[in-house]
Amino acid sequence: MSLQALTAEGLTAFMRPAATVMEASRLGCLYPYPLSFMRSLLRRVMKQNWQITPEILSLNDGGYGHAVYEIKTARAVFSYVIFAKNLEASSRSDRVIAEDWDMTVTLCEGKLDELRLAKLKANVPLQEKGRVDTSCFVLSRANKSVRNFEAVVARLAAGEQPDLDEMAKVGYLYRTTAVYGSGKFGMADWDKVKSRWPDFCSPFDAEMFSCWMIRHFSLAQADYVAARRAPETAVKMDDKIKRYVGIGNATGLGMAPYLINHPLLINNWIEVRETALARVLSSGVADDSSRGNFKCLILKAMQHLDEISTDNEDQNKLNANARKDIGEALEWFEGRTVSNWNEVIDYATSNLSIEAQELLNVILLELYPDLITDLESRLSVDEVYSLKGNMKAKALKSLIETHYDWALNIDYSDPKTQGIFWYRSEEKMEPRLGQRFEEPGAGSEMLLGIGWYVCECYRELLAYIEAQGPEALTARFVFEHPQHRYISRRMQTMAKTRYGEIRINAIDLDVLPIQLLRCKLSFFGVGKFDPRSRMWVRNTMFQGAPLVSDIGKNMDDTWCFPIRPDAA
Amino acid sequence: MTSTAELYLSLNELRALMRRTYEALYHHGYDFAVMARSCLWLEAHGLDGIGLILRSLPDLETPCRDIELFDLTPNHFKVEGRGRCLIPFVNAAADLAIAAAQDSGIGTIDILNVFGRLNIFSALKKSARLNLYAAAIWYDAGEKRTHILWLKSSKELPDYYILNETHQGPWGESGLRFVCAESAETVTQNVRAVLSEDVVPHKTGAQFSAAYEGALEGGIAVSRETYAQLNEIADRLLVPATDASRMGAGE
Repeated sequence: MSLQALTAEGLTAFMRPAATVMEASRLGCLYPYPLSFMRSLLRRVMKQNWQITPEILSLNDGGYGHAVYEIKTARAVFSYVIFAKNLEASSRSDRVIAEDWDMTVTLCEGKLDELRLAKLKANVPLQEKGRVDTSCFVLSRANKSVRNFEAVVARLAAGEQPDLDEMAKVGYLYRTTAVYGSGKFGMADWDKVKSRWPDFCSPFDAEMFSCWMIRHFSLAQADYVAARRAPETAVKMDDKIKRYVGIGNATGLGMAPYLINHPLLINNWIEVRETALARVLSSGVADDSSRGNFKCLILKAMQHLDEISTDNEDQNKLNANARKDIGEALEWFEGRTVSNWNEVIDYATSNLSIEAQELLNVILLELYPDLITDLESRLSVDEVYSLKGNMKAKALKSLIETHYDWALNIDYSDPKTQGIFWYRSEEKMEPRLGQRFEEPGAGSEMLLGIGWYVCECYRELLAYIEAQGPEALTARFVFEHPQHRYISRRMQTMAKTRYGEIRINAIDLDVLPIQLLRCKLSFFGVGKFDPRSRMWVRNTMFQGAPLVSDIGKNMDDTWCFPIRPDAA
Repeated sequence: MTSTAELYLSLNELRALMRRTYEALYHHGYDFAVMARSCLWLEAHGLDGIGLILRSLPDLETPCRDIELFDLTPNHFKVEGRGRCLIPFVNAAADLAIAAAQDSGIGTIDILNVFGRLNIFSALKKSARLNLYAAAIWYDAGEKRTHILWLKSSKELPDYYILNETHQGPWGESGLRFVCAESAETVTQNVRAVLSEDVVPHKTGAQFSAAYEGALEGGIAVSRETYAQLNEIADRLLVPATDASRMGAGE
């Protein structure tokens, strides 16, 4: 969204400043919101009444084999192909470096004939070691939560519904461990996907759809295996419980470089989100109805936080504090008649943790879908980082001082501020962190410490200005200092945006990559964060979401803050 | 899908491979991202970007810090390339002419004693994005042919002319001239000095565009041998795994 568009909407005064919004510590507290990709996708699937039908279900009694679902939209036909196998426990790993999985899948254009299916069967289960063609645009895999899957099947086979206490702890039957798109392994490029298949033209539409279908198959497989195991007694899982079952996900360091390498896209996502909030604050009328909904959503969010199960003490504290804070916000809210939502924002800013502030922002956004849902069409952006060679050196200097002050304020003479380097491991090129002054490999460091490159460029620019004068051109500076061409064009491009870069020193000894992971996952729509270290997190997708069988029914888009069905 | 002879890489896949290849060659000493995009554009538009790199590899293995820049006038530059491959510095060199064109209406750079001159292609694409007109002209002494890339009015891609005749200019036998201007006429004058009106393009901008669409639709064919050769370079970036490196990244 352009600055002009925001001004035209009269929203500028309601937009939060970049210095507040782009701090990694705040981005690491974001929650899913109504424009999160999986929410947007399912609104479209439901509204457009997509037809999803099993064309092939070739499974044995254990639920192993292959399945092909046909997806008919108003514009096109697609096939979703699943290969399910019996995986030895010793082979089951959620790491990128794994080589075998319980389920492997792909989403591709058109109907499949036997030849195409055979080729997919030969390649999709291999994942990174296989090759597909440009008719495919998602490649993914998932592993069973064996204990939960078996417990659910056993209950269904015995004619009982799943144990909700157990389901509340885990929340899924399968976990995805990687979801590839954008041309990986021979698949269609993003440019082709968005131009050729408009049904999947928003960022990560196809990837989110694939995860939703994995969830669908996991539920269908549980019903199927239970029915085969005990045909006389088995029951199908109740739809209310099915909706409570999500799809697990394990996300590691691999996702973090994406946010740093796509600053224009991330700026755009943030700007859309902040614009939505600004619209609510400027136009959302606080009346009896919206005030009532606000209170209901706070209660639901509190229940949701209560039900999150994680062994991570820090996350438990964050959740408990957020719950306490929004509880206090509710008390404060009930003690007055709020007539303007800015009062809530002011109260939260002065009294609550960042986690609770962002939670209340999401609750406000949930109140006014009509004010914000049109923004979902603005999430995509063409990323061009072009050097403006005729910018004078003094202007580049000024630009850095204005827009990258956060980087200039990092004291890189302190070894701690560059204590980490990111590198690609020889194991499947998995991104990893190394200790710069203790481990080998810093010579192969990935270009992710943006602040450091900014400072180096600034230092040499000052010397260049001293030697050549302030009128010298950027083109001349980068010709003579080619190592600064990349960062110069990046800075020139990002200085034109409202929010700019994520403010993180990614090479600090104490860097928390998990903040970046949670930021991106919140845009996906993922919740129930369960950090396993500062570098990877388990989470749950699509919990509370409509089912494939709900297509065609009148479903409200109200599945935020999922809670157990008996408490709903 | 899989074949023994060749792989079909998506554009994104090739770009990622080229980024890692250049990063492995120069680490962050050059703008490896734009170098990769330049190669991708050549390949995707049917101009054998990968072949150009493979032929240039012996030269690319060493940084080209010894090139020299001269100001002939405030908007006319000369680079002495000392027989090096153009790839590492082509975009930065073109930046000078483009900046001059933006500031004073025209910018020219003569790049002498280089090879891999087709890599100038990306500079014409950038000129188009900035609503400038541009041309690149060079003479290939080995082939005794003159090459012209000409970005004409209202085009996003240049037309490519190859003349079976000698047109040695100030750029010599192994150099090129890149001229960029706000006005179409200025560029036309430069081109018409070597190109008569009756010559038809070897490839038109429309043909380049069709080649790109084809690459986007079906991928780019790369021999397994070439793929392995590029990966061998790119893999220099990979760091050996240790138990310590695995800790904390997952389970």
